[in-house]
Amino acid sequence: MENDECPSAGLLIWPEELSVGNSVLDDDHKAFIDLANLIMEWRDDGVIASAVSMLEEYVQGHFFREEKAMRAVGYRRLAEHQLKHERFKARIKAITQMYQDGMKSAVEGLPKLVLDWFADHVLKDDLQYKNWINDGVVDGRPLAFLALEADAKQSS
Amino acid sequence: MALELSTSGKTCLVATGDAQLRQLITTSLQQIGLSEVAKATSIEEASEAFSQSTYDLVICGEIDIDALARLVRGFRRDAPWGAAEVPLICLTSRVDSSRFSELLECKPNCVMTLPINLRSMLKNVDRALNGQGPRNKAPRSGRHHIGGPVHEPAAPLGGLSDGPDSAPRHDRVSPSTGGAANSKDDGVSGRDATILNGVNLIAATIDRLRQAMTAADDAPTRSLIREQLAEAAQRLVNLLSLENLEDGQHGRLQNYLRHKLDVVRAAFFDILTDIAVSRLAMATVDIDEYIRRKEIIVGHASAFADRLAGVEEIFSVMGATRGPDAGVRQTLATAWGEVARIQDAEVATIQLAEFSDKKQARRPLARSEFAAEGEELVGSQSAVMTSLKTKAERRSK
Repeated sequence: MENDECPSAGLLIWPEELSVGNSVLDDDHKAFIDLANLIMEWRDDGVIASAVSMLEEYVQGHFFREEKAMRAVGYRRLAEHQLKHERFKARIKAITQMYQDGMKSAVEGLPKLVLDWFADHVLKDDLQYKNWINDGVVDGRPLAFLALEADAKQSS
Repeated sequence: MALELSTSGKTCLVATGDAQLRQLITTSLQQIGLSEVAKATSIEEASEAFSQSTYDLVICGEIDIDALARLVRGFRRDAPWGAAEVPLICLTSRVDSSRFSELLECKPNCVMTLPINLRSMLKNVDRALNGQGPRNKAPRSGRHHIGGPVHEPAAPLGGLSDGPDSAPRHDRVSPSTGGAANSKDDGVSGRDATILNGVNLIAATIDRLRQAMTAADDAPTRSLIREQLAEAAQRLVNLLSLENLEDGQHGRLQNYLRHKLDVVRAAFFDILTDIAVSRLAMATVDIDEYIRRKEIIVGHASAFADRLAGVEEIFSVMGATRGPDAGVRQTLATAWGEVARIQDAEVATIQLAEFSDKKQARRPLARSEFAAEGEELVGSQSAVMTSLKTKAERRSK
């Protein structure tokens, strides 16, 4: 039985240095990398379409979790952070929409976009809230539920 | 969809030979709260894993449906006792009619097709863990062997659980063998036994397909199930043409067949209702989403109207007495009203575009005839349909 997947050459690996000090948020970030890897390894259209769709949900759920925690501790750079989330969310949404409309090449640059944004955003922005948040303020529910809640709030 | 699902502490085994698919399934499971996920790359590994530990859920996935059917059949057959009963989800890239039947015989709780997302995975896992979906939940004793065509009839339709006083049962007799020896014991001819068994098997198939229809999320799978339902209905018609229900020579048999037919007919009506309500729900969600986006794309109103007309068509086939209930009728009427609004907005968009192109207003930018009509009160769905038809006719002139 296979319990640990060996990463293929060229795939992205989550570095420990990027830990924000909370296991739930770290796991979110690792899943982010997993999805980018799936998109990078593109072999089957169904798998890639699933990964792209899940990435959009992931972004929604993870950002909702982060912002909720930051709001709970009164993080003073929340507005700025939120704005960066919104921009990235809009880019992912646009790429997803183009892909779903039939422009398959739209996702070609997605892994790089994810990697660049991830490295930049986590290092520059997420690590700044490391000393602010604590386990008690991070909503530990599975990300899918947070994506649904974020979606419901957005719709209402 | 509920925002809570009790997945904590649940264990899952993901069996697939495709590394990408395995990673995709694992990632999606982790994001819906199933963190304890073991992986297997073959039937052998899955069987071994199952012998060493118990799992709450098994997901078998393969891009190719042939490979998936082999994997699921092998797992249900070869894995240790308990594998035949464990909730199981099948995931493949596309469905194929012949293989799909084979897959259903392995009694999965849900069949998913790519692409998936967190929402669809959450919904299907919820169904599988809560015992919904097409799988027969009746308890069995001993190890359950599955393979090839249905030798052991599936659970009968809800209304077919006849008591001991009902008509003779021949569930164990294969229609192809005629079952003459058994029939003599019950005083029923081989031909009659064949018909009875045929009807029983078809009824069981219809029930299984009805449950599969409830579990299926995607249009290709639902379309395939509809084809199989049509095929089952045709087989039923062919079989019943062998028996003249009006000749009165086989009273007991004919009563039983009539009873069966009533149940099968009710099942078909349930299926039609499920299809229509599900189509209406999907159309309503799309219409709401479209309105929420506030982006007018010409042609959408017509597409939405076609979809609602499809729903209307199903309800007309069902007839007035078995048509939709008041709630569904209200939803349908509201949806027609929204489509009329979208159509008005599209017309206004076209007129605005024409106006901009000409760079001058040759005539005053009056409210369109459609917008004027929009003021008419639309009290019923038939009124909306008539209104839409009139608009379409005017437009074609």
